[in-house]
Amino acid sequence: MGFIDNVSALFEKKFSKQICRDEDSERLVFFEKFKELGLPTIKNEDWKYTNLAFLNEINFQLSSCTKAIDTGLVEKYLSFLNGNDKIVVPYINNSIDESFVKPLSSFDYKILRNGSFFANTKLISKFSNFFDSSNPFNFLTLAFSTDSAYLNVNNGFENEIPIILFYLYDFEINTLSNTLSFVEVEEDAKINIIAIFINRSRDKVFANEIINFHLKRNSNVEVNILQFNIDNLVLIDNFNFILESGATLKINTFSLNNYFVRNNLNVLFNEPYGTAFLNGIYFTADDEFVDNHTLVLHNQPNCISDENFRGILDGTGRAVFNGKIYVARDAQKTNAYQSNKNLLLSNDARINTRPQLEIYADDVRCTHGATAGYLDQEMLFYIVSRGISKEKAKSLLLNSFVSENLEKVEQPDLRNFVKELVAKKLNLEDIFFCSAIDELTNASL
Amino acid sequence: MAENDILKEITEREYKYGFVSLIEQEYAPKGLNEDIIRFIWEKKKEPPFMLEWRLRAFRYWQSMKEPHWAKVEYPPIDYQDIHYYAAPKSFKDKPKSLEEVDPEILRTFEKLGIPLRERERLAGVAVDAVLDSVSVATTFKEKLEELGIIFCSINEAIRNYPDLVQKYLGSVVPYTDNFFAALNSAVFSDGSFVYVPKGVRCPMELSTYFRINASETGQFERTLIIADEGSYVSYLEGCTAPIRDENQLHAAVVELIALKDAEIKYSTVQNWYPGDKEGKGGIYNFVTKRGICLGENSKISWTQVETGSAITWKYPSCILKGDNSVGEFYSIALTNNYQQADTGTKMIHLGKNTRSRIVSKGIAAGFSNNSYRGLVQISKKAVGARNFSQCDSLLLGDKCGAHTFPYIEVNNSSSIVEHEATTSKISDEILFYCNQRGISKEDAIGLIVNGFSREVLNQLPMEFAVEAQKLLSVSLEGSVG
Repeated sequence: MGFIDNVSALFEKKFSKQICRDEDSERLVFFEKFKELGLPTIKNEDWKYTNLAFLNEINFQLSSCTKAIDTGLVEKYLSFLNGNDKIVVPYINNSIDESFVKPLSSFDYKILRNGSFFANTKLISKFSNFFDSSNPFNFLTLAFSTDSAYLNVNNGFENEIPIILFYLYDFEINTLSNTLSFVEVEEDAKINIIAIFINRSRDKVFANEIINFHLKRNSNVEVNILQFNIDNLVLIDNFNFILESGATLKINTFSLNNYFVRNNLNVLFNEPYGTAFLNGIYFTADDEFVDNHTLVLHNQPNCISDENFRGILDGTGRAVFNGKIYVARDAQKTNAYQSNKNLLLSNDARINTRPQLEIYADDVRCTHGATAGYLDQEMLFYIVSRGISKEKAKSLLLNSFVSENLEKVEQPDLRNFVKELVAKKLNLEDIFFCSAIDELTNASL
Repeated sequence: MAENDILKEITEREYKYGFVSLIEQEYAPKGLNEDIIRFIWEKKKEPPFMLEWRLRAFRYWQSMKEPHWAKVEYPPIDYQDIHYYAAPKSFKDKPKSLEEVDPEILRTFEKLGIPLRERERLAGVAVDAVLDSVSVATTFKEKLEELGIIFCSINEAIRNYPDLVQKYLGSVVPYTDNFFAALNSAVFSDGSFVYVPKGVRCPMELSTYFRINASETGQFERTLIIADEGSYVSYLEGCTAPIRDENQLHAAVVELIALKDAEIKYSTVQNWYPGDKEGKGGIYNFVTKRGICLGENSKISWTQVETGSAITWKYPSCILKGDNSVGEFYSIALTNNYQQADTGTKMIHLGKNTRSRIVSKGIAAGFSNNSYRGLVQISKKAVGARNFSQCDSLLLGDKCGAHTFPYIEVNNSSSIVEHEATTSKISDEILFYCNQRGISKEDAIGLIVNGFSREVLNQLPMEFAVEAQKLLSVSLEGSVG
């Protein structure tokens, strides 16, 4: 049975009785759109290097029972925050567990159960406001969506406390999981988001998550996406960001130890003077697969975007980077940069990278660069010739390769945690940041 | 003449080669079917293996769909509304010497500045001139024969050297490769053939000049160049067509084969009629060019200056099969008015320590769209492979588009691949600097464009570099300011 038949049967079973309800007719519209687009094949340029044919081999079900998850488990996974204050939005097995949520006064927080947002056209437009309409999985998520979260961060809210979107999967059968989130950040607000994906299931889970952001004027948002130890999870996440004038967005993705991850990061500059940074580190080994797919739409003038993705590939790991910068006709004075660097540590590792520029305005400065290769032999020689062992020299170079992007994480607990994870991956004792070296040299002067 | 005067003079010129020569033509009936292919085969007096090959290609072509992944837009082409064969009537029996050639044809090439009579002016270049479907004349044949170099029309080669042709024709670009290659394989009528024997360094530039003259025809030429062990050849190709309101199809196939230690340098200055200011007319240039470095230490270098054609759709590629072989690609693609170009290269690294270098310069003006699309593929066995790619785009005006679509696939850890691209306009600072020193805006842009393209222009043989430089400024006409 193919994937399309699989989900069609599931849709039929779950929603055929409900479809007579007005709000659920929307589901059908989205599902028809998904079927129209179908499961992407490698002939589709956006999925050229990402073969999804294996989905046809798995029989997915919808989650029926939810295992009880106790607070302690969530705390365990979030122990890196050292018990500091946090706001947790827990998506546990496809539904949002309210008991964890600690509300804050300057926060509007709504949980919409079982697709109830379909009754509200305004909310539908917010949840379905993604601009990559060629991605069928957006429609699949909408059609099957269960619980959704709606967060509104009030004007001028500024708090160091991280907001954690906590995705935990613990199913006993091959399961399909779909949730939606919408975060509206009002003017001048500043927040720090950490999205964590964790899988405890032994069977395959196919998770399709949509997380939409609307950054109002002069707001400042940092989003950290953390994917580690997610065996058996087929994850396609769709992050969509709409930026208003003066908004600043910073995305850090860390994909470490995965089974199959596709990060769709879409950024739309809807008003002039927006800024977006997209940084990422991915590490693949032993049949792991990570695909970072970014789309930055410069529809308005005077915006800045800067992408920096670093990959380390070991064993039989595979990675794909597909970055696209689109500059519309009137988006003059755009500055857009993109860089993707890859280190291949093994002969069986594979990297496919596709940095793209599509530019229709002339007064712009756009660059992209991509590299793939082993550690620079000349640099290695330089260090070794100064009496440092080859192993140490290698770790120094690896250190410098990853530290640039690690350093950009603002939340200190998270930064330390990710640093440790990456260091462990690379068999390094610790990772030093350039800023630390600067401090040392300044002190010695 | 100073560089600036040249620029100024040519910025005011229209497409120079747009005239039509009144030559009595003989056409094949419009349309494409097996009878037409037999007709071409008979006309060309080819051996039976070619008919079989052509028909196989045609049948395969019928099963294929026209590709549309390139970033170009054009109305559907009616493949049954094209003459697949057009030849000057006077060529019914091929003239034995230049004296027998219709003087009108000679005048045509004279006008284009192509010396068919071996005169002193460009005496260093041997020319094969192709008008519509047939090769008109090949110069310096005897002199090359002394060295054992075969330089003739592909038609002659099929008749005189069937073994060589049978061995290599379609070996780099099989008819199954793509839609236009299949079409070409079925109906190609002429083109050039070069064979350089072992250890011979070809003493002069070999050149083919393609000219479309007849209307409602398509030109389908095929070029096959074989460089045997340790040999060297430099080959030039130029093209023009008259101004017409209709769109004409040009679907050529070029195959290069470099054996051990051989080197082939292939330069193109493409100046097909680009269409008028409203984007009406012009040539659809859908070309498949590919070379294979079969032997160790071989080298293939593509240089192209693309200024013409309504639509350019070509990717001169290198398959680096031999160990230590080298592939190079230097390109300037200039689009103006409503021209569209989707061009680039493919570097397929198969052998050990293979190296490739890509330098692509795109210049877009007017309402045009200019895309670079390139693939660098390092296979698992290509240990120690190295690639460097650089793609720069220059935008002149705010109605045009410049795009870069690189594809990088690396399958081993000992190879290094680097790609970098920039897109920008001519900065106001540079213009101001030039103005300050008394250089007019127009001249300054000419200077900057020339500087931008220098890296590629330097790769062209001398005779072509001058022409290419002039072409760049012609095509920029009206885009300044």
